[in-house]
Amino acid sequence: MPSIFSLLNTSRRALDAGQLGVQIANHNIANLNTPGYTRQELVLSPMRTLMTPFGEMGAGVRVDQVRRVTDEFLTLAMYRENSELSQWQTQADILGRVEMLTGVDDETSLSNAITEFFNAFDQLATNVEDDAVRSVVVNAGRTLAERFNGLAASLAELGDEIDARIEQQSNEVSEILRKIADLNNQVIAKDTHEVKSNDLKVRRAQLLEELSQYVKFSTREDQYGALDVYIAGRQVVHRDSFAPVEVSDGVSPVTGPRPVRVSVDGVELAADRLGGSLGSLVATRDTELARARADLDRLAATIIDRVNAIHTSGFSPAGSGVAFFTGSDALTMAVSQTLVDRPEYVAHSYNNTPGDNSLARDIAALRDASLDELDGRTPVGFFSALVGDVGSLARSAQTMRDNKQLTRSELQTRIESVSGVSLDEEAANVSRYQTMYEAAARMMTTINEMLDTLVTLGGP
Amino acid sequence: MRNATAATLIDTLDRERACCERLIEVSRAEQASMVANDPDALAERIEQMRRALAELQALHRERNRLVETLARSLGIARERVSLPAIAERLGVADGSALRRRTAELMRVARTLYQTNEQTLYLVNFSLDLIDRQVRLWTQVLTRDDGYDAEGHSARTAEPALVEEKA
Repeated sequence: MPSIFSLLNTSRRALDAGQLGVQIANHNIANLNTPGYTRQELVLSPMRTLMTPFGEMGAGVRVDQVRRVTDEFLTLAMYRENSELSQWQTQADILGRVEMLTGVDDETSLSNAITEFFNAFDQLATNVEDDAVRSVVVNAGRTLAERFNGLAASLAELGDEIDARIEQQSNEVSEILRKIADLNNQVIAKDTHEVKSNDLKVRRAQLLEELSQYVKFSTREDQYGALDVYIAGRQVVHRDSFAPVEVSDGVSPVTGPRPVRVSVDGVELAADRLGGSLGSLVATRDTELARARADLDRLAATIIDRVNAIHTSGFSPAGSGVAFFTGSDALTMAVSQTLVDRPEYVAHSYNNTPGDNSLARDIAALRDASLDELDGRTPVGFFSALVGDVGSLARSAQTMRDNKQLTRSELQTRIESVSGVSLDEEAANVSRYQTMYEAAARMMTTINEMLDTLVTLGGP
Repeated sequence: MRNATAATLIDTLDRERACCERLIEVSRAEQASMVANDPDALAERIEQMRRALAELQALHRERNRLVETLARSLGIARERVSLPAIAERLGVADGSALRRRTAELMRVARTLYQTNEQTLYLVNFSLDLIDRQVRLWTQVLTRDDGYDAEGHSARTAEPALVEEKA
C-alpha cells in the first residue's frame, strides 16, 4: 500500500482536475470543440440527456455509469476486506492456540523442565555417591521428555485439526461455486426471456459475500449476465459450469502425508493466492506452525545429542556407555529404559575415579551454554525465543484483524450510505474527507514522532 | 527536602499523561467517525486533536526544558540524559515519584501510539479507497472508447474495474 502522503498527492491530483460535477460539464464542453466529441454525442444522445447552452449532454448517463461502477467497486472492495479479515482472524486464532500451548505458566512450562533437568545434574555433582539423587535426575529427565512429547503431540493435533478444517472449507467453497453456476444458468435463461433477474443477482451477491470469507477471488460478468469466478487466477465458474475446489494428497510439514493440498482441476493453489480463511489455514500450518514444530524438534534433538554424547562416555556406580535419552525429536524423546529401571546407571564421572564429578558438571553446564545448533542460544533461551516469536506473530495478526474489522465496518457504512446521497454530494464529501484525513494523518504522525522521543527519554 | 524543579517536572509529566489520555479518546472517536461515515463528527474530532496536540507540544517543550535543567544541575552527561537517570540522582521521595510518573506516562504513550497507528491504518485505507474511487470516476467520465463507428455503445468490459478483476 502506498504511503499516506503519496496517496494524498495522487488523489489530490485526480481531484484537482475538477470536482466531479464540474468534471462532467468540463469534459463535455471541452469535447464540444474536438473531433472526438461528435462520437460521444452520438453515443449519449439516445440515452437520458441534459439540456445545456451547448445542446444535449449525456451527463445523466455518465452519472448512472459512475453510480454503477462505484457500487461495484465498493462491493468488490468489501469482498476483498472480508477475505483479508477472515485471513487475519484465522491466523490470529491459530497463533493464539500455539501461544497458549507453548507459553503455559512457569511451573508446568518446558523452560522450567529444562532448567530442572540440568539442575538435577548439578545436584548429582555435589552428591555423586547418592543413588536417591540419581532417581531425581531420571525423574527430571522423564518430566522433560514428557513435556516435549506433550507439546509436540498438541502441535501435531492442531495440524490435524487444521487439515480437517481445510477439507471442510474446501467443500463449502465448492458448494458455493455450484450454487453460483446454478444461478448463472437461471440468470441467462431469465435475461433471454427479458424477465428481470435482479433477485437472482442479489442471491448471487450473497453467495459471493459468503465466498469472500473463505478465499479471495475476482469476477467478470459477461454480456448475458452470467458471472465468471476466478480463484488464484484459475477459472472456477464459467456460466453454468464450475470446477470444485478439492483437497488432494500432499505432504504436510507438520503431519506428514495427508490429504491437505488445495487444488482445482488437479492444479495446486498457492496459499498466498488463495487468501481468506482457507489460504490462511494452509499458510499458517505450513509456515508458523511448521516452524514452531521444527524448532521444538531441533531443541529436543540438541538436548538428546548433547546429553548422550557426554553421558555415554562416562561412568556410573553400575557401569558405563548407557545413553541417557532415546528418540530423535520432541515426539519420540524418552529416558532410556535402562536408566528408568536402574537409576544407578546415571553417570557422573569421565574416569571413574572416586569423587570425580566432572561429567555431571559438564551436563549441568549445558543449561547456560550457548549452543551452535541453537543459533548460539542456551536451551531455555532458544525456547523463550520460540515462544516470543509466536507471541509476537500472534499479536501482529490480532492487530491486523482489529484493523481489518475497522476498515470493513467503514466500507459497510459507505456501501449502505452511498445509494442515499446524490453523486454531487458524494463527490463533495470525498473532497472534504481527503482534507480531513490529511490533517488527521499529519497530526497523528507528529504525535507519534513526539512519542518516539518521549519513549527514548523514558529509558529502557 | 524536595527538589522544586523535579516537582515541576513531575507535575508536567502528569499533565502530559492526561493530555495523552485525551488524545487516545480523540483518536478512538476519530475511528468511530470514519467508520460511521460522519464527516461533521470527524471535523469536530480533528479540531479537538488540533487543540490537544498544541497542548502536548507545549508540554513537550516544557518537559525538555526541565529535563535539561535538572540534568545539568545533577551533573548528568548530555548523552546519558533520561528520566530514569535523573530519578537515580534525585532523593528517595523525588526519585520514586519520578519513576512512578515516568512508568505511567510510558504506558499511556504506548497505548496512544498504538491507537494512532490503528487510526492511521484506517486513514490510509480510506485514502486508498478514495484514490481508487476518484480514478475510477475519472476513467468513466473521460472514456472515449467503447463505442462503435456509428457511435453506439459497445459492450466492453468496464475499464475502471479492470484492476479489480483477474
